[in-house]
Amino acid sequence: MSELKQTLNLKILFIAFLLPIFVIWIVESSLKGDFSSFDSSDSFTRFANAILTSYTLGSVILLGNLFFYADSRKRPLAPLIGMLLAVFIGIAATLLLIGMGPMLLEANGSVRAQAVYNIGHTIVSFLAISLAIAVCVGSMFATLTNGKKRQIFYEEE
Amino acid sequence: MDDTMNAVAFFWFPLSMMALGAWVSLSSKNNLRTNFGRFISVLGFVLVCVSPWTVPTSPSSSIGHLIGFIVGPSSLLLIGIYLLTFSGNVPVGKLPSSDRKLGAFCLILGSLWFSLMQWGEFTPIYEGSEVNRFWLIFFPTFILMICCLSSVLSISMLIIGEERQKESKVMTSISLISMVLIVCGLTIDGENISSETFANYFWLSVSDLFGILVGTSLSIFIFGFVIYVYERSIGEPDSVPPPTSEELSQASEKIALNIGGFESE
Repeated sequence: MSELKQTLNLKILFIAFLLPIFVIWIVESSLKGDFSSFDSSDSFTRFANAILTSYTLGSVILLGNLFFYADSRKRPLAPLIGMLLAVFIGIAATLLLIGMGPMLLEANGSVRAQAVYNIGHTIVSFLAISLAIAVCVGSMFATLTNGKKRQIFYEEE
Repeated sequence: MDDTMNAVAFFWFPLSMMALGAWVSLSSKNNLRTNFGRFISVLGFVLVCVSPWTVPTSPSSSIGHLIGFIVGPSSLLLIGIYLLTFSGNVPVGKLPSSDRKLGAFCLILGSLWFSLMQWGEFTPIYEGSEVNRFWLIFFPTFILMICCLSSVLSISMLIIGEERQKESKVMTSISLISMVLIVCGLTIDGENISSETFANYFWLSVSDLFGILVGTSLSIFIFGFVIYVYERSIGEPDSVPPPTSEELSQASEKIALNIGGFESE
């Protein structure tokens, strides 16, 4: 029962994340009469580039994190090699897929230019997401601390 | 030096200094290394911010240009939230309640500043004529993430918290305000950015956000998988022999020394 409730809650939270996007989509379509600003080809290209770049950058950051893990495990080499392999797969997949043709090139002339642009783009997106998380979580804490002081434990009579 | 080497030396190297400095300062336990990490990070940040002057030919330096532009309103937002949070009912580090008004002022000023950068004259213009293309990525992603995340937090307050309807309403109103700002961006032309340009970049930022969520989740999954495989391969740890009678008596002596005490008057 508890697990079912937990799954249901996660689904509700996922819907809560998507809901504003759907509302904006409906409002924009209603105001403009069409949905011309959404280009499926460009969006797919951006989606694919974002997956490849964030996977690679995320793996590099987690590879750095493995050093903390290694501290408590007598510095084993196997997980480091495993994570290095994951990073190399990410880099190779990015270069290979960008080099395959115009599918993943976004107004950039070469594979190197696109790869560098992807890194820059992901850094800016990470910056925006991090600031938004700080603002939202901070606002939540501000509302929690500025409410009435609650009595959590009732004194025994 | 050619343009590529200039970009590496004056932009990408300082950018990596920021990350490396943060890593050193967070991972080290002694003060000297922590301060050294912080110094490297701040130095890298300053060098990235001045990159439009040090490497004006590199397109990457427009990231430094953007960071220079957003550092003001971002700091105001963060300071505002800090003042608002710690001027309330917190057990430690409580600020005077008068700081609440200052916090609200900083928050409003920061939001107004960002709005003026989108619709007013404060837009980051790079090389004198073009709108910085990274601003066109930053703002839609930022506002979209605020809209979606505050919606999630609003619902989670109702699901997880008890009697948190008031707080949930505040988070819902933040989500609605950001949604209104997005709709304004999609319909109202700014001084430098048209609604059509904003709409194009907004839907790209939706794809970008989902791509980043999928890519990051995938890397975390691979990380967990690598650790799981390694932990499974090392097998059970060797069991230690049971304590001898001498060790047991030594332990009971130590325990006897550390329990008991005097009754307080």
